[in-house]
Amino acid sequence: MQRFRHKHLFLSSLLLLWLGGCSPVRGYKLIGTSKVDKNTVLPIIDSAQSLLYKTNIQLYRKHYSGIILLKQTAPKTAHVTFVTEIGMKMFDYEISDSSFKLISIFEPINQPRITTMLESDMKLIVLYQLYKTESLHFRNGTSNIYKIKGKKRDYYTVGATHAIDHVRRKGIFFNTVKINYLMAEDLKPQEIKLRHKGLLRLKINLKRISKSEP
Amino acid sequence: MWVWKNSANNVLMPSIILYVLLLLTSFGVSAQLPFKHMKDTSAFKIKVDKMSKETNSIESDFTQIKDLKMLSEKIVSKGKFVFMKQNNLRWEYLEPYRYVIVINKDKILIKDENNKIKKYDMNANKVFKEINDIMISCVNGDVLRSNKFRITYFENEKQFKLELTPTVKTMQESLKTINMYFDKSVSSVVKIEMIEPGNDITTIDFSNKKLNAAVSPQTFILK
Repeated sequence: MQRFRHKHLFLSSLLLLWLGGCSPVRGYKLIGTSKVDKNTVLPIIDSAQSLLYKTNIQLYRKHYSGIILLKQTAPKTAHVTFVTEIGMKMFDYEISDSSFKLISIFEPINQPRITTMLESDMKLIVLYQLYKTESLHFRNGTSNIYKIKGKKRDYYTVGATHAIDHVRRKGIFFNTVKINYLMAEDLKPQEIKLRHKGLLRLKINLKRISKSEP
Repeated sequence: MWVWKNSANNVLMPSIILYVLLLLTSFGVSAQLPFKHMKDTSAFKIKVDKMSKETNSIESDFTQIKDLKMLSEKIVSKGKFVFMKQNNLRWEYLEPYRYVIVINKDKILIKDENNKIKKYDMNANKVFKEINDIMISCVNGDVLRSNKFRITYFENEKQFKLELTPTVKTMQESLKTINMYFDKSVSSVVKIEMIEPGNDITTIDFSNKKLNAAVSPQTFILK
């Protein structure tokens, strides 16, 4: 019995250590609670310019490639639009303060399983929830982490330049989403890499490209 | 009323008139002349048949413009296009990045910037098969005999235009109309416009065309 207790205690300690070690805010100090604005964390999409990204989406064994356009179309409206190389529009999301709306989707991929996941990932990439919900603010030197308040365990890490560095979503059963941003000189992402770990096999890679003239 | 008062303006005036004339001339060249319903569709169909029989290969540059109307944004791509009878196509995008699509009979091969090659069986992929059927039939003129479209015929002084409206429901979901433009000699297609239900347009302009030049079969093999 005693042996079982010791073993149980040992395993629990290991689990606690592991959980503690995996916490994204380990080593950070809680500063307070606030709603993040676009000066604190620079937005991915703004009115200054539209951005084009060469895009690869790997979902299980299916592969989609093309160009993603990020564009602000009105003071409070933006779009995330994915077009294949041959010009077929795969999806178009409209983002506003109050909604993240699917405007159109190519019929063969119009399946709830795919659209739900795409919407969730696109929201994370463009930091949609970060500006809408209050966050816990943690700091370690010049590095800041904002954790969305509530049940979702979304962590946004921001450096001294106020540009996003990476995003982590910790789900249940070891399911996590990691997004890494590589910033260009204009503090817009040069590359964005999204990975799901766990049961869902999804990768999204975005690489910024310049526009061609007609 | 506008009065020319001094000599400086008298010097400027011919330049302004010349500029306006140039502007009008260039407008006349670039603007599309209005299309009317085609008078003699039978003669046109005979010409397309002749084109189809006589064309064994096409090599051309292309400029593709995806006009996202609602977003007021145009995505421009450029590259090289090769067609060889019966069922071989190569779309080689060079801008904004390198990307090659080869259709070799019933196989689709795609090579990206990282030289990774992906192979697809056309018959196992309905979407690819539809796209291939449209592309090949547009290039070789078989589209005139297709029952997947209702065709309306137009012409102006410089071009013939076919307006293809899909009759199949699955195609209607992603395409409203395809417009195909031929020069008056009907030697090949000069431009294709694909209009989506939301009025976004993909325009493909073909230029620097070479008809029936020798094309290596290796063009349709990706390594």
